Amino acid sequence: MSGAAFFEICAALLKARFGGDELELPLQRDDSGQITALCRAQIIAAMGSFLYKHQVPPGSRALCAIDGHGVSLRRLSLPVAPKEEFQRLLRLQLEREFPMPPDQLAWASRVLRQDSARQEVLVAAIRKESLQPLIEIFSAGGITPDFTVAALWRVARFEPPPGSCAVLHLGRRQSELLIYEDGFPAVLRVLNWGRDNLSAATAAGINVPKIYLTDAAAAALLPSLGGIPCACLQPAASPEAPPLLLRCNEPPGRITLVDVKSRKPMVLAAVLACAVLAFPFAQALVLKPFLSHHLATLKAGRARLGAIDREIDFLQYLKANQPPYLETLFLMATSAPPGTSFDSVSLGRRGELSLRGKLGNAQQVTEFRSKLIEAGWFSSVVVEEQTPTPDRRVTVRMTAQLKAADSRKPLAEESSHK
Amino acid sequence: MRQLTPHEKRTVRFAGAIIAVYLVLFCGFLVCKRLFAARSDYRRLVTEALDLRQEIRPYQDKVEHAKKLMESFRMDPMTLAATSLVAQASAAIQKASDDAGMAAGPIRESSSHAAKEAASIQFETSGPVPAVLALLHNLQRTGYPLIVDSVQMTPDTRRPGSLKLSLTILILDFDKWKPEEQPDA
Repeated sequence: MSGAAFFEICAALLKARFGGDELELPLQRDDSGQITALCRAQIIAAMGSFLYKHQVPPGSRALCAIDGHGVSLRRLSLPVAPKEEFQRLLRLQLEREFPMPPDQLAWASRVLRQDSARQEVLVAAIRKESLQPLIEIFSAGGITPDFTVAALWRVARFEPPPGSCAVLHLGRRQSELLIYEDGFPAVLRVLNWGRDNLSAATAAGINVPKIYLTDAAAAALLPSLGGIPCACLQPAASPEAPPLLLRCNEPPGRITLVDVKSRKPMVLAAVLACAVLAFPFAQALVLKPFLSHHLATLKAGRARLGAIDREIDFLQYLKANQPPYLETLFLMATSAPPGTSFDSVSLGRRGELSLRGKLGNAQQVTEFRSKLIEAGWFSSVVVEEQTPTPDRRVTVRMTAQLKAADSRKPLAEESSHK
Repeated sequence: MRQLTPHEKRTVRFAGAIIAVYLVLFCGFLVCKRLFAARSDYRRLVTEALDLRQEIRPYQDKVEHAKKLMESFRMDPMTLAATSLVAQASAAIQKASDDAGMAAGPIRESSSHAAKEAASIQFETSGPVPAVLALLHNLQRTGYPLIVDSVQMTPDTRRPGSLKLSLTILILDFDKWKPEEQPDA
C-alpha cells in the first residue's frame, strides 16, 4: 500500500492511508444514519489536502474497504459453465437470493472451490444506495473508489483459518465477526462491542469451536469469548489474493456484455467517420497508379486521332466526289420518249451533261426537256440545237447541269409519284 | 543508481509526453502533407482523364462512320501502297471491265499535278448497255480510291448494239492527303 491511497470506512470513522501516513476523519451522521452535509464538506476538504500532500493525481483509483453494515454474504452452488453463461446463472441466483434485483446491488463474487460438475461461489452484496454518499464524497475529493468488504480484505493477508471457525476484528466500539464454514467465509456479523466496551462482549449466537483475531494485541485482550478459545491468525506466507471489488455501476461479467452493446454503435460510427475521412486519400493512393497507366495508354492512342481524322476526311471526299452517272442515265432513259436514239452522251464529274440524239418531233423534244426538269435533278436544261431531218425527225443537241447533291429529289420518291 | 523522487518522475513523464506529442504532430504533419499532395496529383490526373475522354468521345462515331465507308468502298486507305498504287488501280480497272463483260481498249496513264491525286487514267472500252452500267457500278468497288471524272458514250460502229465508252478516271493519293483545317483548331 506504499504507492496508492487506501481508505477504510466504518460507521463512525473514515481512515485514509498513503504509505506510512494515516489520517482519521470522524463521520457524523444524522438520525437517519446519513453523513451530515457539514461533515461531508470537512471530509472532502481534508481528503483533498491529504491527496495533494501525497501528490495523488485527480481521478486516481483507490481501494475503499467498507465495514460489514448492510453487507450480505452468500455461498451459492452453481453448475460449471463458461464465463458468460456463469455470469447469467449467477445473476439468476442473485435474483432468487436477494430481495432486490442485481441492478440495485453492488456485488462481487469469487469461486471458492469447484469439481467437474459444480462450483461453490462466495457472493458479497450491498445496496447501491448505501454506497452512493461515499461515491459522491470520493468523487468530490478526486478519487474513483474501488469498494471492497473490509472483513474479507483483512483476512486475505493471513493464512486461511482451518475448518469451521470465526475471525474477529476488534474495533473500538464495534467489531466484525466473519464466520467460516468448511474453511470458507459464510456469514458476516457486526457486533456492538469493541475494545472500549469489552465488558459487553458476548458469545451469544456464535457457535464455532475457535475464534481467530486479526491482531496480536486484540488476542491478548481477549483470550477467550464465552468459553470459546481465541487465537491470533498467522500472516500469509503467499502473496495476498486480489481484493473482492464491489462494482457499483458495472457488475462483473455483465458489464462486459452491456459495454460491448453500448459501445458497438459508437465504434461503428467512429470507424465509418474515419473511413469517410480517409476514403479520398485512400482512393488517391490506391487508384493513382491505375489511372496513370490508363492515362498513358490513352495519350499513346491520342496520336491515332489525327490519322482517323485524315482517313475519314479522305473517305468522305471520295464519297462526295462520286458522280451519279447511273442515276443520271436512269433519268434520261425514263424521260426519253419511245423511238429516241442518242448518238453521244457525255457526263462530267461536276454535273455537266451533254447529249446528241434524234427524237420523233419537236413536241417530243419539249416533253423530254420538261421531264428532265421535273425530275428535280437538273438546274438547267438547254436545247442548244434542234434541226429537222429529211426523215421528219428532229436532231437535237442538249446540255444540262446537275443540281448539288443535297438539293436533288430522291429517286425513290420520284418513281413512286409516277 | 539513485532512485528518482516522485517530482523527478513527474518531470520525466511530462517531458516524455511533450516529446511524444511533438513527434506525433511532426510526423502527422509530414504524413498529411504527403497525403494531400497525393490527393492533389490524383485530382489533376482525373481532370486530365476527363478532358481526354471529352476529346476522344466524338471519335467513337467517327470510327463507326469510317468503318461503314471503308466497307462500302471495300478499301482501307492506310493499307494502300503509295509506290504501286497507280499500277494496281489500273489493273483493277481493267479487271472490272473484263468482269462486267466489256472489251477493253486502249488505256493511257498520265501523272497528275493536283495536290490530292496520284494520276489520271483515260480508258476506252466497249460493250452492251448492261455491261456499261455494270462497269460504272463496279468502278466504285475496286478497292482503290477512284473518281470517274468524265464519261462519254457513243455507239460502237464496229459492233452493232454495243456502246463505246471513254472514261477519264482520277486516282487519289492518300499519302498526299491532309485533313482540312477545323475552324476552331
